[in-house]
Parts: sequence; structure tokens; C-alpha cells
Amino acid sequence: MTDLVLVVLTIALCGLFFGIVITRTVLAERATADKRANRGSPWLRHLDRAGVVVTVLLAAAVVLRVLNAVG
Amino acid sequence: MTRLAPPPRGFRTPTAGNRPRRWTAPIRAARDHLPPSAWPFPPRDAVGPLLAVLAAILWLIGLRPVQPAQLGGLGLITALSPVLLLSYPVLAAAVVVELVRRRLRPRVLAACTVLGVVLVYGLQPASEQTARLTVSWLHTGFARYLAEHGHTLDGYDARFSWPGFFSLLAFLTNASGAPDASPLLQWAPAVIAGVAVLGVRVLASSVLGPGRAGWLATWIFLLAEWTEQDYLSPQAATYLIMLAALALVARYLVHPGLAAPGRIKVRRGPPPNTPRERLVAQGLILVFALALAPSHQLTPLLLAGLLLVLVFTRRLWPGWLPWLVLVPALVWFSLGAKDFWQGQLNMVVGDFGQVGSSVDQGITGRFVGDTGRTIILLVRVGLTCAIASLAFAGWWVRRRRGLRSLPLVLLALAPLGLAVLQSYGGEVFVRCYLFALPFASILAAFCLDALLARPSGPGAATRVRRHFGKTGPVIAGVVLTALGLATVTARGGGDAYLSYSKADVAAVADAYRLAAPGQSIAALSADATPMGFDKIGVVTQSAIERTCPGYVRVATCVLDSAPNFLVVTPSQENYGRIYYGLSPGWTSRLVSDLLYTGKYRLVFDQDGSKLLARADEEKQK
Repeated sequence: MTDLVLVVLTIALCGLFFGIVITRTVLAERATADKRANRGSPWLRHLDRAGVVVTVLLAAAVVLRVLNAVG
Repeated sequence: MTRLAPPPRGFRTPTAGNRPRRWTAPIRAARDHLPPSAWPFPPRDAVGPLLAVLAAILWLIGLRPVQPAQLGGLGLITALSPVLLLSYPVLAAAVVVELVRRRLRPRVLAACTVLGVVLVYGLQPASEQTARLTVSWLHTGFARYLAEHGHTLDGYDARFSWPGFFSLLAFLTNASGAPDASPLLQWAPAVIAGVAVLGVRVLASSVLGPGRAGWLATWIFLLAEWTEQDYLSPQAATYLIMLAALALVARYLVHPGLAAPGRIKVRRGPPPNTPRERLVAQGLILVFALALAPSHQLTPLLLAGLLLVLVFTRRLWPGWLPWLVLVPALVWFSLGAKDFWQGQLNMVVGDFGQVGSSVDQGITGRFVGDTGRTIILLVRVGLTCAIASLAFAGWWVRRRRGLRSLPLVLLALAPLGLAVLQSYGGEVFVRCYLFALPFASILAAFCLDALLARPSGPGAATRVRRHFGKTGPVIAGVVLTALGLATVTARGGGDAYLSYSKADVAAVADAYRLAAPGQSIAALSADATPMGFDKIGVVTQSAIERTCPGYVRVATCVLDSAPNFLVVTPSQENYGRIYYGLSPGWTSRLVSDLLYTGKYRLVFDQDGSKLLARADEEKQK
């Protein structure tokens, strides 16, 4: 049961990570295209922070799954 | 009247090339008798292509079939004709002649590069009967299993936990209707190495520009890739993907360039491309990362590490890119490779930080065998040291010009971090060299470029003194020749036991035909037999060497383990002689002893390859 939860959590966090990074990338490139880099900055900062949090959670989920399965 | 300033020292006037030369006199005489439209270029322009054609002719004339059974510890080099060996310096001369031209001819250089790939990497496929390396045969077996069953075999082999490449092979064989991927094996090294050279060419031209230095880096890579990791394997395929990703990054996503001097304290703006180009490049790298994650355990980590180096040196525009490569690998490890880490977590993390263990397994542990094998190992070490020295010299040349740039040096050194993570079955330093080679080649290119007139790399205009006159091209030619011949020697060094005859393959195929499910097939050595290309998971396939170190009392070992079938080949005979100093004919004596006991009988015998079957099999049937 715990393993199933950790697998689902890993997949969900992975999806979230890619969503954040792809959105952030597109927004950053749009900002450079429009030559209005400052306009996108707050959004980019929020997305960067969210990305860091999700990456840490994802790494923790991976480690927990391995430890849980081995234990 | 305006007085023209005297030309600078070393400047060649356009008419300088028209001075009569003894060897060009007949060509000039022929040209003078032709109308101008029939002779479009001066004879000097033909020297490079003619030398390349001469190299190809010499190679073809000198090429002859090689019998692996007749090779010794020095391997393939002893069976090559002097005429064939002469083709390498001639080709190196052709390349240098092309590179010292005032205006480079990319098409001629590209043709020379294709020829170089054929001469260096096509030598073994062209001269040997069938594909070499047991591992490549085993990989076709994995792909065959996937094609037949549609899933991996749990608990069989760690490589099944990263089945991406095997799935691709299975798809190709199923789509083509072929029974397995063995027809692809023989020429795979030449094709894979050729694509890798193309990848390094794109990477080098992105870093160094389209000039001579980029071509020199390409040629250094071509002539120094001795690792033989270019057989049909996941690591070869993922290496190509990694090179493609690095080339994309260097061309579209790095600002300023990797060879640009100076320390970047503040992150600069986007690279001078359109946002659309950058988005496409990042999208492609995401696709590459998704392909890498289920295909190889090491390559995505290394690519992410190299991208992190670019982030730390403030060259990479998209700062999230390393994580975009790392996360799929991490998730696959957690979800897809459970079968691997569930029973072997200690193996994964146990080597962490054990550099001494990596050195023992990867360098000192490899120095076993006869004098010939020791010489081959020394050639490999020498080649590695030569490339490291050239790279250091290239860095020194740039430093003397005031062009201090850290990224290239860090990128060349970063793969050594793998030795801290894992011993990788004693192969970690081979991998370190392979991954470092593209960047070491770029640094080394600065060194050779400085030997030639009119240096071409970034910052070359800052050159102040000229140390080498006409000897520079000669030195460059000698260096390229030495690298090429050493690589040919090193790559063929194990061919006495790593290359096989068609009879060897037929003996193993006969064993597969005769073996019933659950029975066992054994070879004397797993490294010297083309085994594993069929019946994965159906019959047990093992090596006597594992239970019989040094083949001491080998007949007793065979009788104790009692395999249903025993494959004995000339490659195993060579393996025992080279690795353990066994006397010639030891496998023949073993076969005689086993037949004498009456417990085994001979069921296949062709060109020295033998298959023995347990005598009680007949009675049971």
C-alpha cells in the first residue's frame, strides 16, 4: 500500500515538475521575444521557487520508495 | 606614385604558388596544353585529394582476411600488412595538406573524415569473418527475448532494467522480419563511430567555429577513440544522443561560447538565436532525456553533470536544463529499475567514494596477461596520456595568449567524477576517457592549431609570436599518424580472443539447436565466446572460468559442473594462453581428456571450433 502511494506520488510530482519547467521555459522565451523581460519576472520567480520545492519533494519520494521497497 | 608597404614576414603573395616545382612539372606541362576551361584548378589543389585516394588504394590493397586463431597477445596489428599500415600516415598527410591551405575546403575535409572513419573503424569489420565481442552478441540475445516475449526477464541481468535500446532493436528486427539483430553487429562499430565523429564535428564547430581548429578537434577524436565502446550497445547509442544534446546546447543555448575567454560574474542575456530556435532546442533535449532515462544508467547522469558545469560557469541560458535531464533518469531508476536495485542496492551505493577500489579494478587490476597484452595496455595508457598532454598544452597555449576560459577544462575533467561514484565493473576509467574525449579533443586542437600557420580558433588573432615554421605541419602530421596507428593497435589488441570465426558462431548455434529447455550450455570463458544470442532464460548459459580460476585442473572443473553442452573455440585457447600463460593446445588436451572419460562426446567440429555434449543425453533420449 505504501509502495503504491509512493509510486503515485512520484508520478504526480514528476508531472508537476515537467509542467512547471515547461511553462517557465516558454514564459522566459516569450519575455525575451517581446523584449519585455521585466513583465514576466514575478511569474518566473514564483515558478522557479515552485520548481525547487517540487524537485526536492520528488527526490525525497524517490529515496523513500527505494528505502521502503528495500526495507 | 603610391609606395606599397612591404609584405609582412611569412606573407605569401598570390603568385608565390606559381614557382616551378619538380614534381608538379608534368602536371603543369599537361595543363599548358589544355584550354583553360578544361583545367579549373591549380595542381597544388589536387595534392590533398590525391593523397587521400592513395591512402584508400593502399588500404584496399593491403586488406586481407584475418584468422583470429592465429593472433597473439598483440592482436590484430601483427596480422596487418605494411602496405595497409602505410595508408594511415598518407591519410594524415592528406588532412594536414588540406588544413594548411589558406582557404579550407569543407567538402574535401569531410570526404577525408569519412575515409578516416572507414580506415580506423572499418578495419576489423572488413578483415574479420564475423562480429567481435561477446557483449554485442549478448545484446542481440536480449533484444531477441524482448521481440519474442514483449517484456523483460526479471532477475536475469541488470541491463534488462534499462531496456530502451533493446526495445528499439526488438522493434527493428520484428519490423524487418529478421530473426535477430546479428546482421547489424559486424559493421555497427564503423557506423556508430562515424556518427560520433559527426557529433564531435558539430560540437567542435559550435565551440571553435567552422575553421581549422574545429577540423583538428574532429580528427583528434577520430584518431584517439580506442575504447571500443562503439559496438551495438545501449552505451554506444546513448553516447550518440549525449553528443547530439551537447552539440545543440553549444550551438543554441550557451552564451557566451564555451571557448570565449574571461570569467562571467553576472549571467548574461540569451544567446543570439531566436526564441523559437531555443525552444525547439530545449524541446529536443527533453526528448533526448526521455530516451536516455530508460536506456542507460550512467549517460543521463553524466549529461546532467556536464550541463551543471555550464550552469556554474554561467554559460548556460536555461538554468533548469540539467534538472530536465536528471529527473527522468531519477524517476526511471525509482519506477522502472526496481528489479535492479531491489537486490543490489549495496552494489549501487557501496562503491560511492571508493576511488581506490575504482583505481584497483579499472587500472591495476587490468594489468594481467602475457607481454603482448601488457604492451597493448601500455599503448592504451600512452594514448590516454598523450591526449591529456595535448589538451593541457592547448590550455597552456590559450593561457599564454591571455585567453583564460574555465568551462572547457571543467567539462574535460568532470567525467572523472564517475570514478568517485562507481567502479562500474572495472570499466569506469574507460568511460571517463570516452566522455572526456570530445572536450579534451577541442582543447588539444588549440595545441595543434598553434603549430600551423594562421591559427584559426577563437582568440587566434591575439597570437604574437611564431615558434614553428615549416616544421609545424610535419609535427602535426606525425602526431595524427602516431595517434591513428596507436588507436588501430589498441582497438585490435584483444582480437586474439575477442574476435570470432563463423565456425565459432556455428558451434554455439548448434548448441542452441540441440539444447532442451532447462539444460545448460557452458563455455570455457564468457569473454571469449560468441554466446548469449539466443535461448535467453530458456537454457542456462555459463562459463567454466567462474568456478575454475586460472583453469587449474580444468577437466575436473568441467566434470564437476557437468554442463549438458560445452563449447570450445580457438578464441578460448588464445584467452587461456594470453591471460593465464597456458601452453599451446590446452583446449585440445581438455577435449581429449573429456572424450577419454566417456562422459562427453563430440557433436560439432569445424575449423577448430568444437561442441561437446554429455554422453548420457543420448542414453536418456
